[in-house]
Amino acid sequence: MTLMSDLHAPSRVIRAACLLAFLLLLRAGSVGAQTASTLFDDRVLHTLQIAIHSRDWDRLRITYLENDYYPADLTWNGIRVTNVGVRSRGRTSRSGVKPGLEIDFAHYSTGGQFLGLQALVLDNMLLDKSMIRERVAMAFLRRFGVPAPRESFATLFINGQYAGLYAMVEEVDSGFAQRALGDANGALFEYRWLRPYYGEYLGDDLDLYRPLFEPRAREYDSVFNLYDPIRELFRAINDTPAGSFRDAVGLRLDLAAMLRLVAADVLLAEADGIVSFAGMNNFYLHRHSTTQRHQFLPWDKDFALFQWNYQITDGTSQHALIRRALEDPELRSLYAGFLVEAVESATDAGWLEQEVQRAYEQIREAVLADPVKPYTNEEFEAEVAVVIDLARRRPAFVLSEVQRLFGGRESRTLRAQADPPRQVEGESRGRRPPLPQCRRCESRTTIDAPVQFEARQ
Amino acid sequence: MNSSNRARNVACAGAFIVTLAVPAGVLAQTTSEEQTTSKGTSTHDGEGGVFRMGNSPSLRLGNQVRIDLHARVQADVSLQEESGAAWGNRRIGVDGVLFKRVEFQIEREFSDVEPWRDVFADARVHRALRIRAGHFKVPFSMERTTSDFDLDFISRAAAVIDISPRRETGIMLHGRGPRRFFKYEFGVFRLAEPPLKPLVESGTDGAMLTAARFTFTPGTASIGVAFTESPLPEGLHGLSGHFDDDGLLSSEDFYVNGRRRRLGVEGRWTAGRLSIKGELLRQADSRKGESVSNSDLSDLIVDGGYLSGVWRIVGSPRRSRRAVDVAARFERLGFHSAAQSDAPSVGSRAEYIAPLRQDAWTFGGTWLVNRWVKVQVNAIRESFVDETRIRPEIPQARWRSLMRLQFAM
Repeated sequence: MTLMSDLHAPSRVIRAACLLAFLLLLRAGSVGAQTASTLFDDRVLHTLQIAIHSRDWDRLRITYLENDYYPADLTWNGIRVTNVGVRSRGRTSRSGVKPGLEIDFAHYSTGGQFLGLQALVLDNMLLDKSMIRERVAMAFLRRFGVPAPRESFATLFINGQYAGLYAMVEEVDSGFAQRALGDANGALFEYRWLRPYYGEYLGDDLDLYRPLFEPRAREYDSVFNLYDPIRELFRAINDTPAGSFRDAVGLRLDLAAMLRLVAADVLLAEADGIVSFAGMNNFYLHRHSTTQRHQFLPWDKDFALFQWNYQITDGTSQHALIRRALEDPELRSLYAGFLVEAVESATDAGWLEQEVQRAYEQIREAVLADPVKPYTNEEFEAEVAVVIDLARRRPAFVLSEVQRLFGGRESRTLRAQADPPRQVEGESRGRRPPLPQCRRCESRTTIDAPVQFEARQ
Repeated sequence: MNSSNRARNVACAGAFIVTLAVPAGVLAQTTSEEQTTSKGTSTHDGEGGVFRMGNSPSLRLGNQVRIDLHARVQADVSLQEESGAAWGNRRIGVDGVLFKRVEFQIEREFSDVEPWRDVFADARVHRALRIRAGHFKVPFSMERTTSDFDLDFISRAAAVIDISPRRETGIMLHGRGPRRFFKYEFGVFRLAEPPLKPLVESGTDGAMLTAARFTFTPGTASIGVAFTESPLPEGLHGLSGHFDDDGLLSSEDFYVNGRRRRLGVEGRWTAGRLSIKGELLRQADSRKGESVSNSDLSDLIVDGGYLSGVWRIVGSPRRSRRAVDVAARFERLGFHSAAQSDAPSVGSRAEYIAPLRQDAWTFGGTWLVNRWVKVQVNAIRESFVDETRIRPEIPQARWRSLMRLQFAM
């Protein structure tokens, strides 16, 4: 017996070693399987840990209006990334109490990245008491075929202390352009709101366009190469005769993609997007490296889902691009079709309402425990109720407005000819039900007074 | 580079040399003749006071007091740039001996930055024990303690400039052994202001730096070792003084906190017309509580050195008023962390700081026109090495050339 035990001892050791190796392999596999899609999986409330020197964190909060980077370590799902750069971010949402953060994985090391991302935005959602507008709006845009950043919620811990609920937002950069548009080499600009700008032609001087469009890729290209196509785009938008508008502008701008985005924004009652209450805002402009056509990309949806009866035509008459596009009968028809499609996408199996409800249930406990949110729990609950109400009523309102303004027509022909939205890997679009009637939408014709916004400072 | 501007710079420089050299040479001859004929009694001030005009104006009161006046001017000309000559190191000073036992020196530079240079008194108790007090160079590095006007090259080696401490106020014991076989210097200095960008306003107020240097001179060779230690306030330290010509490291600073320790080894060997010298210098800054989790990080190391050789092709191998030297130097300066685990980074709190170094070759010539005028020309090739390749842009290796004109009296 003893002899047998001795003989079996090595085999037990081998078995144990194999088991250990298997477990290690399993763990390595699970870590290795993590991708950006996992990070942005909005079915999960993620946890982020940031280790940052206490003095740096204090300084970041004191000087939150500056863009100074501080070194930190980031941990997510057991993966620790050392020496990332952290800075305060945002425009009107900047805060020293609950700072919005940008995590730059390449700031201290060229080529540094995490799950293929060069940077990650942590949105403090300061301007949205419900904290779900941005995440739900971006999800809808992607569902509707608009190239939009991926987002998910995360509870953030700074040096082990709960620092509140944040939205993890995919940075719009060349990596995003590659994933969403299949073109990492194009020029990319972030629009800077400086004053109400409605897309009018500013003149020949390229310096007039530079402050508005800040390069985020190909930064070292010449000013002419960067801005001449933008100048010519706005020249064409404003100066091209009506009869050739679609062809002339269509050479420089993906008009169908633009109208699809505007239609989605209308469905989302987005008051601060490309067609906002104070000029264009919250978008990136991408120029494809081969076709040289521009495309608008959405950003920052804190003001989406704001009021269920927000007028679908607000801002369009002032907006040079939208006004002229809608003067073209075929583009107008295409736009009407996109509006109807947006309604269908939002109401398909009650998607919008369910998404709002799901997001709320996912973050509720985290929001209630958030020690630095600038509003009370009661305000949070009340604002969520507003969003839920909007999710129920907005599609019907939009559909009724479309029928009223566009006569219920849509151009199937043009929609068929328009570039189909790019199907992005890992994202599924909603099933398109039969047209034209939206069965789930209530037919409402009552229109409340349009929402009033304070002027931007 | 505009060739006509370069030619104009060179022509201006040539004219300057001639302007200084010819009268100086005549004056030198005249003075020499006067000294030969009158044994240095060119001016008499009565009551035993003598004013002499030798290498420099000098006042002597019997055997008890000697005061010499010095004036020094130098101009640097970049042979690539069109900015013309940059006047630097315009200094005036006096030194002398009082009562045969107390030497003193007072030197002021016409500059807003650290205008007072050496201001000290040095009392001789014994050949083996002297006491120096005042504001003077901390005894560290052979080249750092050599006067600007006696250097073999236009600039000191980058490692010497960056690692060596500057002048401080303190007291130092020093002396020599029999036949100058050894020499020692030991001093304590009060740090006037933080040596880096401080985070705390109090900085190094009242902090003391301790320095020691021992030099042994067996025959024609000389070897030495030196160290310093001082407290280091929490702050940012970088090498921007050397690396920022191209903006390369303007943002690369690292948090340090605790103690700063320097160690230097030096050597010199002279054989006829050939002189070879070199130094290895190392500075270690501790980083206590500076990690992202407030724990200690490994030391930030700045190290480097140089090896140079000088060949006297014209003039006496020893001190000579007229001579021509050619020289070459290889130098290196770099930084890294003591620990080299984890992922390399240039983050200011990185455990493993990605190493970066600067190598430079300098080839030069020195022409001692006469006892007052010196002309130096240097061609320098600098290159940067980032072994980890994590920095976005490393400048290409480059050549630059400089000319320096000195007038010292």
